[in-house]
Amino acid sequence: MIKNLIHTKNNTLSERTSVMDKGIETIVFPFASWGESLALMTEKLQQLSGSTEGEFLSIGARLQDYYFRAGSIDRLASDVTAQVSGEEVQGAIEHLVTLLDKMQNYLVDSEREAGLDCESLGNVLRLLEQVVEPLSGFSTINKVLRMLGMSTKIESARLGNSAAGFDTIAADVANLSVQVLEKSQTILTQQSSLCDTIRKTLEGVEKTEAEQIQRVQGILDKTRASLASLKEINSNCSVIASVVASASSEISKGMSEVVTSMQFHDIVRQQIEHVETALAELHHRVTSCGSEEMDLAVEMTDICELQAAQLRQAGDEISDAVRSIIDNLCKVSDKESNTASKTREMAGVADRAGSSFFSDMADDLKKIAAVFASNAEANKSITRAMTSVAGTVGEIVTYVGDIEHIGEEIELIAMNAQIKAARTGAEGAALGVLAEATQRLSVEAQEQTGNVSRTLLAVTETTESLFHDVGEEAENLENEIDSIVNELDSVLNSLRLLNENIIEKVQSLEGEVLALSCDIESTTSSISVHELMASGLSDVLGALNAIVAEAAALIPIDLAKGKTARLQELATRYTMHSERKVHAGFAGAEGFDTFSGSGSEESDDNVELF
Amino acid sequence: MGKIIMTVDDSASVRQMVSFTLKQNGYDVVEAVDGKDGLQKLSSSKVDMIITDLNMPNLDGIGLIKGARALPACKFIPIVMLTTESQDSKKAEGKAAGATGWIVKPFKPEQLITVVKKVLG
Repeated sequence: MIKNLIHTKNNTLSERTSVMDKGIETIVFPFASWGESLALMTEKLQQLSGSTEGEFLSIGARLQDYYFRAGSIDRLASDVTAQVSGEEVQGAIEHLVTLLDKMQNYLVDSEREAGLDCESLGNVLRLLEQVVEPLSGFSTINKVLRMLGMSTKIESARLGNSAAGFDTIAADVANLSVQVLEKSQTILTQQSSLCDTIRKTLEGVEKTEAEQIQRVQGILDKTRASLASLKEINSNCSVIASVVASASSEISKGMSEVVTSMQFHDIVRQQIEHVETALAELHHRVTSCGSEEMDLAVEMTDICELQAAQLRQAGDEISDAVRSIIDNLCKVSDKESNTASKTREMAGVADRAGSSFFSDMADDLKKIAAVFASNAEANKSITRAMTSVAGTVGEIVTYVGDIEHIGEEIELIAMNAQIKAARTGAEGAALGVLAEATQRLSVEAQEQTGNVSRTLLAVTETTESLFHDVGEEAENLENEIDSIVNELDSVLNSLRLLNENIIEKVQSLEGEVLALSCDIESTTSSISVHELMASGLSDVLGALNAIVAEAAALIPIDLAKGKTARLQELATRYTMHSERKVHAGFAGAEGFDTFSGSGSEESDDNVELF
Repeated sequence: MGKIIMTVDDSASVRQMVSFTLKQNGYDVVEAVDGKDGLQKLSSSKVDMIITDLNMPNLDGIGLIKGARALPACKFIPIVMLTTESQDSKKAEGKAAGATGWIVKPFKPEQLITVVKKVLG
């Protein structure tokens, strides 16, 4: 390309040779070939200034898309942050903690109640065991009564007719004593059976209660740990979402810098157009002048050098601007990648708190409900045992009443025998002694039945109290547990729905972030406008430099001075501060109406309100 | 409904960036490619503010300001020049024609929005 723009370098050298042959006074400048070079440069600059807008517009269109998507990510991240740390989630967690506390309290109460129930059962057992001793006494009474009966019979036989009736009395006493023995043995059998039932119930209740308490406590501890974990997860989510929101805010700032850089397309286009105009005018002048015009050659050199400086400035500006666009978009991409990473982290965390967390909790809840149901069943077993105790004790009381009644009958028989013995006179003295002994035994039997009755009364009172307490406790327990389980189910369901919603948003956020990052990378890797511009400007600069070098070789050094004045007219055409600055740097600042503002990037000097 | 701002510039990429900046801040935007196009659109649609370039084909920014100020609907609306031109003499010309303010390109989005908010009140 450079070869094309440096139109006739070989011709120029041949022309120059002929010029040198003629001497310094008759220098002939190769205006024709320079003119052709200038025409090619003008054409090239025209192409360059008009060829870049399409790519910039395309970048601008994508920039808008990225901006709105970054804003959407920002809003979604903020939404997740608000939801995760929101009152609804925190409220549900706190509610769950409160319910767990209730269950814990229930557990403590239940443990205490179970202890009291077992103590009551133990008391019943001890009371029933106390019945054994007085009942065993009936056996001895029976033996003595039988002996007394036999002695009465023998004495009656010895006395003959004078002791008529004593034989019948002896038979009655023997018969009644057998009845006492049978009933006391029945009572002992029932007492033994009852004790077995209570021991088994006690053993079962103690075992069940211990297991249940241990199991429920384990589940409650696990659920508390899960809740603490959920709180920590939610806390992490908030931090990460804040980071994401902050990154999105920085992305918006980066986008703002891109917007500023994008305007350099128009600025540089105008600069190139100004150079193009200057070179076109120069072309017109050199193609219509004579070959020996030293002044024009000197001015042309100045103009070419100055325009080369302007083009370098324009090239630097467009290059810096495009680099800034790419850098800022890359930063945006990097930040979005970082955001994606954080989002993935958050999604991962949220996943761990996802369905398994809540399904585990729901399973635990079911276990607790099952344990409480089992607890209620244990209470029912106590009730059943107490019903059985009450029934059997009732039967025993009947038997004890029978024994008492028999004792009374024996006492009457004995009194009757004493009377008869007295009537018999001295001969019946022995029978009188026997009748008296029989009466004492009957009184003793009645005393024993009294002891048994009192013990059984205590048993009845304890069982009735336990029956009442356990029944009432079971009803309260069922109501309380139903209420807690229902509340737990409701809160868990709310938390699960909230968490599912958060996970859905996090996944959506991750998808958007990854897509945006990918699109930005694709855009930055495809930007080539700066390379095209640099290449085109390099061609023109090469051609300008070539003209300047050729002219410099022909123009005497002293004639090159005074460029400030020669370029005065050109200086009035600039519209931009940067152009004037380049001009001032090349030609000297005198006489220029330089822009008062610095236009520094950090100030608002480029803004003026009238 | 947001306020309507007309951006007038012969550079499509500048119009794009101005429009982008204004829209993302809630303004509605009407675009015109030069002063003549701007005046035509002003005769048929009401705008609350004009942001115009200076050097444009057909009719430049100064001509647009003069034409707009002649329209009753635009007599008092803010008109801000957004141009690469930074000479004081040009600014004075713009001020005399009826410009409300002057911003030298390149603008920073937040800068432009500050100016817009200030002049629109």
